[in-house]
Amino acid sequence: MRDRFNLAFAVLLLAAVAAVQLARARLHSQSPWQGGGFGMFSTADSPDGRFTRCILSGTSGEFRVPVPASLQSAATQLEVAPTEAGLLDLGHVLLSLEWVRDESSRSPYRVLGREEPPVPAERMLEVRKVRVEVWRTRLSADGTKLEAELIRSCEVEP
Amino acid sequence: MNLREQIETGVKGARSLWTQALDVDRLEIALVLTVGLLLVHGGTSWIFTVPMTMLCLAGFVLRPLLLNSSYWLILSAVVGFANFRNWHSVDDQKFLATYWCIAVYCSLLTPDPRGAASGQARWLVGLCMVFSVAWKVISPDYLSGQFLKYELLTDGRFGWIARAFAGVPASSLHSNALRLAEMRAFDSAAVAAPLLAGPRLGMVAQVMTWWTIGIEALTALAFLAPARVFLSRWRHSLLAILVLTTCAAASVPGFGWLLLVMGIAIAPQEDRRTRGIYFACFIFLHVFLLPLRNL
Repeated sequence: MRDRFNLAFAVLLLAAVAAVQLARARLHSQSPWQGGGFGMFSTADSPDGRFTRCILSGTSGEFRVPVPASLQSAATQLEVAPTEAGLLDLGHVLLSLEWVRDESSRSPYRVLGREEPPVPAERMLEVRKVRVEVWRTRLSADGTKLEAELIRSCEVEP
Repeated sequence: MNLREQIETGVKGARSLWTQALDVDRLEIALVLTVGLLLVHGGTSWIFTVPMTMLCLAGFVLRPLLLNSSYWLILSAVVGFANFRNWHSVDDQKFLATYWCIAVYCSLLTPDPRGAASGQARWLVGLCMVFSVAWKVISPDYLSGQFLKYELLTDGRFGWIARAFAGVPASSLHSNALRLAEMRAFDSAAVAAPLLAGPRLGMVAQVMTWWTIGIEALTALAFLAPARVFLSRWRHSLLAILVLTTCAAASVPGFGWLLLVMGIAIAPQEDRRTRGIYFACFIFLHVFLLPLRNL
């Protein structure tokens, strides 16, 4: 009996992990490409085709900002499995950061580093709301264009 | 010694090496190749890559370790934990490699490790193909050919097929990559972007779609069928064809390597021809994936 279990263990583990991945992909929009379910090369919904958009709302309007480098790993994980809790966590962290106007890059605002000297208040963004969105790309039905489809989003306010 | 004699000596040496390789114990060959696979394609983060590399090198240097169950238990634990921690970024191949390491450990606990490893490898290959086919059947964009059209137009790994067979100019592929990058940019609000295609894109995508699902389904059936069923006799041929076509086309040498390792473990010791075919596939896969196609 023990020998039989030993010989079936790896196979059962494969089947169990793949079944869990299948369920998570259906229930939590997890990418079929990740998680050990053997869904690679079965759909365009791969992690490479997913992306995150972060939108900060301040008194002067809405601003699209990149995910800060320190949160990149969390954002990548969120793109693979965009759970409600994960989106809220990322939104709260973005809300807790200090955003300063950035004239040197494409991004209108950047995160103020802890070691940086204080900057004038008028250069800071008073964030009133953060919206985090996870998108996926796919080919349009007629095959002529790329389409982005919103998978999940959340809004966080102070 | 002139050039001709030198070539003849070299060919004789290579033949002798090939013959010796075919006679080596199938489990030992499979385990050496598994350790090699983990060394080349097993890395995740450095915290796990360092101990895994040391374990693999120890296996290479101290050959008796490869037939020691405790060695495979430790290796399985390191590989499994690394993949568990990085589940969101590791490929299916790394999951399968973990199951294979566990299967080797369990096999070495039995009185007949070769037979046990062969049986488990057969089930692992068969089930992995079953799930792969299942995903392709239930995905909304696979059977319609949309997925492979998308890949051909946007995924660099398929760029050479798009250029050579689907008639998509290199400039169009470059433009598509830029449009995808623009859409993914943090400051983009775009929800659509035009793509440039080629005259035979639809046909090539359909051929690839049905070839892939067909060969995977046949491989699954052949590996899971009992030995008395006719299709089971074609196991090794189907696996070799799958590796040579789909793994080569999708540029996934690690997955192909692992499937070949399990094929070697399954083939009976006296079946030198099948082992030779697997060795040849292994060499072909790596030569084919050298970046010569992009010259």
